[in-house]
Parts: sequence; structure tokens; C-alpha cells
Amino acid sequence: MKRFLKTLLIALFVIFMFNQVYAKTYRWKLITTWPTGIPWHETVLHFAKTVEELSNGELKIKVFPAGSIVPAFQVFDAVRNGVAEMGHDWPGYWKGKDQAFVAFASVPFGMNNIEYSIWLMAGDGMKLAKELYGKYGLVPLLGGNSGQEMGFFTKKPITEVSQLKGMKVRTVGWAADILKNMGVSVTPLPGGEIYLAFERGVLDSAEFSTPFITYPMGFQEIAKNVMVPGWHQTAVQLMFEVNKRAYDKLPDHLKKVLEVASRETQLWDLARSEYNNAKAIEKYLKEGVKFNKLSDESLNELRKTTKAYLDNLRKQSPFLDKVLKSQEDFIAEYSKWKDLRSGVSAYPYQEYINGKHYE
Amino acid sequence: MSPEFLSVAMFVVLLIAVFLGHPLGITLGGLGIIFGILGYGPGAFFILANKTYGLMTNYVLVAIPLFILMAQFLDKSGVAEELYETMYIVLGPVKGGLALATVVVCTVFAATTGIIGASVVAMGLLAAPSMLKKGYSKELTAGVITAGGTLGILIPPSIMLVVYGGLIGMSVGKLFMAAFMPGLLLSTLYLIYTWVYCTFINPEAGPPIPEKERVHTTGQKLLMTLKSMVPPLFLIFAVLGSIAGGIATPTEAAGLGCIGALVLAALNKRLDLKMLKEAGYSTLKITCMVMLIFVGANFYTSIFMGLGGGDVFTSILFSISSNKWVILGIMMFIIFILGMFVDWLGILLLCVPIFTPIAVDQLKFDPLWFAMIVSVNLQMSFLTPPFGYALFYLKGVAPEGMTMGHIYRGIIPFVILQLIGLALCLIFPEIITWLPSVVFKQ
Amino acid sequence: MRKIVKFIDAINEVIGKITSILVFVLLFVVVFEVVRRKVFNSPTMWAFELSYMLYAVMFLMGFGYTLKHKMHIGIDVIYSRLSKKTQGILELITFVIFFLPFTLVAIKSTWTFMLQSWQGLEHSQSPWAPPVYPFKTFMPIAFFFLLLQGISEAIKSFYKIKGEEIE
Ligand code: NA
Ligand code: NA
Repeated sequence: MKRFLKTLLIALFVIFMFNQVYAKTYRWKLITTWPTGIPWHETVLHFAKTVEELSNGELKIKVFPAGSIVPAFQVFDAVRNGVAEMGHDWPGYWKGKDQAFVAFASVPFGMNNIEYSIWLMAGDGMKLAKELYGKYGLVPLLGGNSGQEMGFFTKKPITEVSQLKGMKVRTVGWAADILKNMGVSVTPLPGGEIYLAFERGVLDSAEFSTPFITYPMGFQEIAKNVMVPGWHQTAVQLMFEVNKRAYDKLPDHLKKVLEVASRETQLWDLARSEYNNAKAIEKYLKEGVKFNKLSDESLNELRKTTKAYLDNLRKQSPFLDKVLKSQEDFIAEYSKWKDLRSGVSAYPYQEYINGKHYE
Repeated sequence: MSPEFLSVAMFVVLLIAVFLGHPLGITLGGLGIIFGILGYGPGAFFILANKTYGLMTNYVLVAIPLFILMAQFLDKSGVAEELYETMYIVLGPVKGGLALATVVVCTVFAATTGIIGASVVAMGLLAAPSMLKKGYSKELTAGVITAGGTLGILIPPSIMLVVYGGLIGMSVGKLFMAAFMPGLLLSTLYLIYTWVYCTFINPEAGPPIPEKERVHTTGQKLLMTLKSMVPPLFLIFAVLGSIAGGIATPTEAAGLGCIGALVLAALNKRLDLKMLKEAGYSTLKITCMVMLIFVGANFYTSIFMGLGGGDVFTSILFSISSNKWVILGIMMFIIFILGMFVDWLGILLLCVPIFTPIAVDQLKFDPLWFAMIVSVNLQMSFLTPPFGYALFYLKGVAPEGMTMGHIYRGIIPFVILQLIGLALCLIFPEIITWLPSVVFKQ
Repeated sequence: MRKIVKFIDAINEVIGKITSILVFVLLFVVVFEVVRRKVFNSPTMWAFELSYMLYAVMFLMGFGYTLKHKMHIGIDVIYSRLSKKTQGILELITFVIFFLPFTLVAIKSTWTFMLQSWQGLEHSQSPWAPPVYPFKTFMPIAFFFLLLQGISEAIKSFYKIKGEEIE
């Protein structure tokens, strides 16, 4: 018995020492709002791999998809309370905590993916994000931008918002409120319920995300028309969030690794997503899907309702007002340059000659 | 202690702990906390709040109390009693007639509900007392009810397939189509077995009607059948019809089913305040039983995953062989074994994201076929002891005298039948692929 | 001790009976939504969320009541073959190693979860956007009443070991 105890003690000591030596390696958990079938899961895997390689294995991040440790919509609270060191998501999901989160995710008639990247990296964007996330003990990092959402699937072609009246539409976030204000019946069904409800006619119209992300959902099996453009989300900005206590324990060079990897991931996701968005549109067209552009009058009407809606929200959330103000200032300044340099958009030769000069 | 070692230990300790007789949800939850402290660290505790809230806000699960309430109404309305009395008289000369009837009713019920809790509870309340009263063996009664009830998770609509589709990004519609035939195949196997068993192997288990009770003429039987079939058909129409007709989501359809059952009870003059009160109390108790198991099992699985339990299983898989059929066999084996101890959602989250890329991208199996093979395998987890939801649900409503031992013995032949069904789907892929290829021809 | 048992049992009995009414409220909300959508072609903004809230409050608040009625089942293959005294001892052991840690951690974690929601006056992210802090408040309350009922059951086990039955 004595010998057994002695062996056990030595064994425990060895394990303890081993852990001390190993302590130089940081092992982190990263929880996400994505099931593995969604391409954003790949974005996160890409980030984790980049961090491990850049840090020469000193920071190892293990990715856990939605549900494997906490349910998707619990990621924010879980990271905040130390369930995992990091999370990845679309910040608009945290609208209920502060409306300002949505401004870091996508604004109707707002900036596109390039403009978001510029505002976040060169402008005030990340500084404001750090202020907002800091209130919850979190540090934000860029998490990718997947481009514009594709629009609303409908059974019949639709080019005016007024045609949506009397229909039951699935959408979420600010767009849901805006459509509601225009007299459309909106149902915020969760992702998994959409297909069946749409197929059986409980819904008349549904949208999910960008072409690349939406394609596998199979809506084209149910409806062959899409109302474009995706005015409701002109970009899909994603974010990582890091638990502040875990972040502070990292040595400076690993903090830098996180920042560099997150900037690289922002660009990686932007390129990968736009490349595949175009490919997904090809596939839709081949399967007989028709894209119907909203009329200018309808777009203007939506733009006006959006402004009225956002003006009201800004009165309720001072921080949202601050963020949107920063975005508007950037847009105003940038638009002059955007206008001056436009007219040479890259189109195939014949289309350019036939008059397609502008994006 | 390495987290990997802990995850294996967690698994082994569960096997012992569940036999201590303590409420399952709490045993699972308690184990999650013990191993959370040992290996996960302080963040582990908060997962319990996250997971509980996840269940609280899961709209799809709202169907559970509604289907249970529907079962309560049906039980108290006398409709089911009448149906079973009639079936007993009509199927009288057939050995095991009532067991056959139970499988048929379960199959139809499966097409109205997306979960298994409700079907097993409903059949446990409706079929079990009548079967035992007529001298059927407890084992056979438990077997047909749990196996039949489990069809609910395979025959669409199905929560499992909805979650599966979301997980790997596959159209839920295609999965539903693919699941019809395997579901009917299993149902047919159950019917054949039950008939053979009661006719040739053990006639004691499902006695036919005594000679002196066979007094009804064919005309009378026909009339009785028609009369007793009308209310259930009405109900099936209320639930299935409202989903198929685009009137309601599967969750809402459960509510319409309740109203249907309530109307039937009123027509039979069984509707009063006392009946409503008792239906409410029973529904609450059964729902809470189911949900506490969900809370505990969800939390346990999270800690298991967080400790790296998933990686342990993959590394075993790859160290064995490179033959595609051998690897597929091992995958099936792992899912089957896990199914004995972990709940379906855990296995789904644990295995499917790891197995699917291997099976589809590397071994070139058809994605839809593979998904369905896994689903047929997964539905066995509801039935395989020691941890099978169907078994616990039945125990929760079982009549006096039916013990867990009877249930465990009763399900053995049905698990073997499910394995045969799975083998048939492996040998004849058309069972899975035929219907979707007809419906979604490209 | 007997008084404590009687008191706890009575509380959870009352809570359970009141909670069971929510089943019918839930049924009404779900069916009302179908009628509004199909008959009047105007779905509500709130039915979807109100239905899961009713279902959640219902199953949470019934935990203690269900324990009192011995409906939280376990695998009793071995347990049922033991003598009453051994059963009582086993019940006390599992109470200490599983039940107490589970309920205490549940109360602690859901308490923090609830407080954080109150601090930010958190709202739902849906178009209806109801406040969620009252909803989250039911979590620690429910686990507290489950703990209470567990204590009552443990006292019963204690008497069982002594050879007395109290109900
Ligand atoms: Na089903
Ligand atoms: Na099982």
C-alpha cells in the first residue's frame, strides 16, 4: 500500500511538472454560431490554423461548432462568462443587448464589404467596436465579410414592395421591423424551420443570407424567383470576440498574432465569399431561377422607411447614434472619391461598349 | 489528468452511475459538474445556464407538451379504448392482433409527430393497458410500443432530420423524402416479426380472442370498425392535413391535434373540469420528466465534447483500416455503441461533422444515402439500453407491474430487427435513394 | 423534520397545480396564431415567442412538483431489488453526489445569467422584442424549488433508513 501511494505521488508530481512545462502553450476553445455545414465554419477553421502557424504552435485554438458546447445564440454570454476563450458570430444576433451591435454587422442601404473593411481598419470602426464589446468584458476582432445578401425568394416575380402586402415573409433583424412598418406580415422563423414552412405554404417568401450561404438550403426547389438587390443587408460583417481576462493573460506577441490573423481572415473571407457568391448565382441561373430587380420607386420608398426607422432607434440608443454617425461621415467623405473614380467598372468588353460602365 | 483520459472516464462512470436508480437528468447533470470541475475549469458551470436557456427558447420543442396533452385527451376521451376494443374483436382470430394494431397505429402516428416522446407516451397510455388486460406479455407490449414509437423520429416530419439538415447544409425536404421508405421498411419488419412470434414461436405472448367470445358477425365487425375508425382518422387528418395543406407548422399542428382530441372527448361526453385538470397535471409531469433529462443530457454532452471526447473516437477510427466498407462499418459500429449511452443530439453533433467529410469527400459515398444510413442508425439510440429515451418515456407512463427489466427484455428483438433494416439499406441503397430520385428528378 | 417535509411538499403541490394551467394557455396561443394567419391573414408578431416562453416557464416550474410525484424516472433494475433500508442509504448517497451539486450549480449559474440580463435590461432580438429578464428570472427560481423538493425527498429517505414511511 505504501509503495502504491509513493508511486502515485511521484506520478502526480510528474504530471504536474509536465503541465508546468506545457504551460507555455495556450490552448483555447472557440465557440461559434455556425453548424459545420455553413461556409463560415471554414472561415473559423482557417483563422484557428493561421493563429497556430503564426504563433509557432504557442496558441492552439480548438473550434467547436454551434450546439456542441453551447447553443448558437448563447455564444456571446458564454464567452463573456469564460465557457470558452473566444467566439465567432454575426454581431447582429446581439441586438437585444444593444442595438449598436447591428451596426457592426450590416445596416440596410449601408456600406458594402470593401467599405466596411476600410471603415473598420482605417477609420474609427474597430475603436468603436472595442468600446462597445468592452462594456461586456470582451475584445472584438475582425471575423470576415461575406458580401451582400441575395434577396427574397418568392413564388411569383416581384418588383414592387407593395406586391409583398398580404404575404407572409420570413426575415429577421432590422429588415423585419422595416418591412413590418411597410405593412408586410413578417414571421421570424428560425433557420431550420424555413424550408418546411416555405414548402408547405406557411410562408410566401423567405430570405436567408448571401448566395453562397443560401444555396445549400434548397429554396430554389420551392420557388424560382428572387427579389433583388439585397437592400436589407448590403454586407455581412462577422466578428470574433475574446474574453478579456483570457486576452490579458496572453503575452504581447500572441496578442499581435491574434490581430494579424483576424485581419488576414477578414480578407480571406471577403475574397473566398465573393468568388463563391458569383459561382452560386451561376448555379441558380442554370436551375432556372429568375432574379427580379426592385423598381427605383420601391427602393426609394424602402430607403425612406429605413431612415425613419433608424432615426427613431438612434434616439433610444446613444451609442448606436455614435456608430451610425461615424459611418455616415465616412460614407459622405468616401462617396466623393467613389464618384470620381467610377465609370470604369470591370465588365466584359461587349457589355462595357453597350453602355455598362457603372457598378 | 489529460482531458482525453477524463472524457473516456466520464463515459465509463456514466455506465455505472445510471444504474444507481437516481433520476436520470440529475445523474447526467451531476456527472457533468464533477467532470467539469476535474477537467474543464470554472467556465464549465455557466454551460448549464446556457444549455437550459437553449432548450427554453427552442420553438420546435414546444410540440412536446402539446402532443402529450393530445395523448391525455385521447386517453380520457374513450376514443382509444373503443378503437382497441374493436381491433381486438376484429383481429380476434389473428394471434398477436392487438400488437399488430399497435404497430400500425404507431406508424400512422409517426407521420403526425416529429418527436418520439409524444408517440411513446401516447401509445403507452392507450395501448399498454388494453394489451396487458387481454393477456399480452409485458415484454411484447413494451417492445411494440417503444419500437413503434421510435418510428416517429424517422418517418417525417422529424426533428432529428431537421437538425441533421441544418448541421451539414443539406435540404431537409430531400432528407424527409429519403426517410419515408426506411421508416416503412422498419414498420413492416416489426409487423412480420410480431405475427411470426405470436403465431409460431410463443402463442402465449399474444393470445387470440377466446372461442366463446367470437360472437360478432362480419357485418357487425365492419360497422364497428367504421365507427371506431372515424375519430382517429379525423385526428390524423387534423394533424397531417394541416401540415400537408400548409395551414400549420409541425409545432402548430400539435395544437390543432389537441383541439381535435378535445372535440372528440366532448362528443363522447367525457369533457368536464375534472378531466381537464387531470390532463393538465399529467401533461406537466411527463413534460417535466422529458425536459429534465434533456437539460442533464445536454449539459453532460457539452462537457464531454469540451474535454475532447470527439477526438478520442476519431483517432480510434483512423488507426484501424483504409478499406471504405470497413471504415463505414466502424462508423456504424461507433454510432451504434454511442447510441447506447449518449443521447441522439450528442451523437449527431459528435459524429456527423467528423464522419460526413470522410464518407462523402474521401470515400465517395452518396451524401444523401450516407445521411440516411446514419439516421437509421441514430434512431436505434432511442431503443438501445441502458440509455434510450423511448424506454424511459414508456417507463414514465407504464401501467403498474411493468418494470425496466420487462422493457429491456422486450426491446431486444426489435433492436435486432432495426439492425436487419439497417443492413437492408446498406445492401439495397434504392430503399433510400428511389423516392427522392423520383420526387426531385433533375 | 416531518413539518419541513409537509411544508415543502405543499408548496410544490400548489406551484405544480398552478403551472399546469399554462399548458392550456399555450394551447390557446398556438391555435390563435393559426386562426389569425389562416382565417384573417394577419399573423401576430408575438405568438411564436410567447409560445416558447409559456412552454419554458411551464417545464421549469414543474420540476419540483414532478420530483414530488416521483416522475423523474431513473433506471431501477438494481434499485428495485434492494431492501428499503439499502434503498434509503443509496438515495442519500446519490442526493449528495449528484443532486446537491447539480441543483446548487444550476441555481448559481442561472442566477448570474439572470443578473446580467437585468443589468443590460436585455430584450429579445425579434421584431416583437419583449424584455427577456423576467423570463430568465424563472430559471434560478425553478431550480430553487427543485432543490427544496430534493431536501424533502432526502428527509424521507432518512426516515426510510430508520424504517418509517412518511408521505
Ligand atoms: Na415523424
Ligand atoms: Na440508447
